[in-house]
Amino acid sequence: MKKRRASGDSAEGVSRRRMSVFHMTNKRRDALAGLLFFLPWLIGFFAITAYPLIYSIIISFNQVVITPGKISFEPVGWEYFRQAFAVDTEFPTKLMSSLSSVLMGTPLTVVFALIISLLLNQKFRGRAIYRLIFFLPVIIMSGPVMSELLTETSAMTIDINIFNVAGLLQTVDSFWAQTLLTFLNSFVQILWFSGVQTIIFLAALQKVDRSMYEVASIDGASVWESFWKITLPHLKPIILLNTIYTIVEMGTFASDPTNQKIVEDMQDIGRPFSYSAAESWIYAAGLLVLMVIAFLLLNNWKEVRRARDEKRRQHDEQRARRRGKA
Amino acid sequence: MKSADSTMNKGPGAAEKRRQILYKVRRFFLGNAEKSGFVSKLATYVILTGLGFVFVYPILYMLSTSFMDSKDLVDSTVTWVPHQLSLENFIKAGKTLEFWDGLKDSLIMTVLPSVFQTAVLALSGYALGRFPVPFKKVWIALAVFIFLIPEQVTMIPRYLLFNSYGLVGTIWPTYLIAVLGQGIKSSVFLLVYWQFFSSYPKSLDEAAQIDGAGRIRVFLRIALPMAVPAIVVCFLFSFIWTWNNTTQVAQYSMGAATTLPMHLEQFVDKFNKLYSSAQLSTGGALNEAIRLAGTLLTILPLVVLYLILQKQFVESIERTGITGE
Repeated sequence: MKKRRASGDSAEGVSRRRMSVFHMTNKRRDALAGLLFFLPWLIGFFAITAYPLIYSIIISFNQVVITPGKISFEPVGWEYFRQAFAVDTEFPTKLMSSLSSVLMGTPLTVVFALIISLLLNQKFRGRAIYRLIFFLPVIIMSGPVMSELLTETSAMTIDINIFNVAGLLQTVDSFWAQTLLTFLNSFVQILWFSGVQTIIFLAALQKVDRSMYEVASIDGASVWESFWKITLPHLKPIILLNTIYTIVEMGTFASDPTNQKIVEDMQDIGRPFSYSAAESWIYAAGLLVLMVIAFLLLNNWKEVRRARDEKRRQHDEQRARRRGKA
Repeated sequence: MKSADSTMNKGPGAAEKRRQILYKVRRFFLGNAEKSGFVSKLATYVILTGLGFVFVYPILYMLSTSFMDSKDLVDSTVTWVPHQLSLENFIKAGKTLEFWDGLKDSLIMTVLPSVFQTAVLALSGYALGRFPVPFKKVWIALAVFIFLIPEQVTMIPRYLLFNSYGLVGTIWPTYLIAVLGQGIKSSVFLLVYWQFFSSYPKSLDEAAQIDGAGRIRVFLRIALPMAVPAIVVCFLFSFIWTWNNTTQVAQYSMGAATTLPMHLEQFVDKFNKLYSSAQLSTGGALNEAIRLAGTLLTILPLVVLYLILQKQFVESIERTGITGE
């Protein structure tokens, strides 16, 4: 009601509003149009996704008792969450190792994806072939192909052995050699995880206006400078998006120790589903913390501040106008 | 330095020539504003080849092994190149996978769902990117949150849900999930579209609206062409993830459809059933080569799809002639 009065206050406006029942301001019409475009997802969320989510929260606080023909719940409170940390000997260590490997792996993965996509975005002979090559991990990483490869050739680690670097390092057996070996190992793994992000970066790079670079180079900017001043600001939201993607992809990958533990515990005797649900909520909370850190670091705060100032200015102007009229 | 001085003394003509040659050499190696030089090109090739090798290696391994017959496999002198290219492995693997039936089911369960997923999420992402949707931040946070929850947590309740709708055992759950934008990794698509649609100039929309275009027209004629790279990428991802999403199909469509990756998962059992023990004794036993041939057959359609679409997502912008701000 308040809003309506604010939108039109001349006598003419009032009478016109009275005539048409569905009078709407432009802003509200936009909101309605947006809502209509957004409707399929909203319906889907409430019809398909919300229920399983709520259900899994509920069962993490209840003991599921399966009797023939009937499933009943017995509330246990925070018991399963307590057990995960206090009773379970494996879960806390696995959780920490998962979270730390995600924490270490994510920045590296995103930076690698960015570098590869920048290289692929150049014009050079044979780039179609290279683009196919760097698309391969997207195909291979999802689904049964990966597991097939893991059982047959251990694709994720074999590449080091091929150069015989690993063999060489193992004979040295010093602290540095070991460190280098683990680094190489995780390097290959990071490469495998960077497929999707590379392609998303590449798609985003297509959108950067070429004439911007021309203008910059005429003004004397080097390639290096235009990367920092043009490319990177353009990609900033995509970097955040890719970071979120990487956190989830690494965290929920089938070979992740915590994830494996969760799947293992699903049929745990005496506490089926409930305990694994509690574990996954703890894990999700951990990953969420990492995401919040990423968000705080990568969100475009300058833009946020600008938008807030703009809004405040508009608000002030409106108020001043209204006061002037009254 | 001395020699440079001596050439300098020979007169302005020689110095000029020298400078020109130096410039040409410099341009060849280091490049200039228009053209990147030899050094940076070489670096590009070296880095990309080195890193790309990691991805190509398993594919090469699969290719070379899948063409080997059982003799080559045990022959220690054969590592990469088989004595003869035998297609026998592919024929056996194709039979085991029931390739054509599997392909048909795979296409049924993948093509339309991924089209729906791409399209519906483009709409939703457009809404988030261009309109003041009420509680926008809540929906975005929820989308991220859904993405975060491991799939297996919500799998059973979702199954119960579809069971109560009476849809288990048909292909419709997969379609319903796709049409309502809740398919595998949907949140990624939502976020990608949101980013893409929110980052092109609003003035284009406004210009079209002033020219009398309705909102749907603006979406179809202006927003969509601008987002072609995003759409192609999302479609590719959606197709691949749906194609490989055996758990969803296995769970909801039990028996109604058996996709190629599902056949691949049961490869060993099916192979042993198909080829009786009589053949096993004569060197026809299941080996690595046949399994890898089966794996290759399963991902082949995905590679083909990528080859068809890859030009689209790289060159679309140049064709539409409109670029971002």
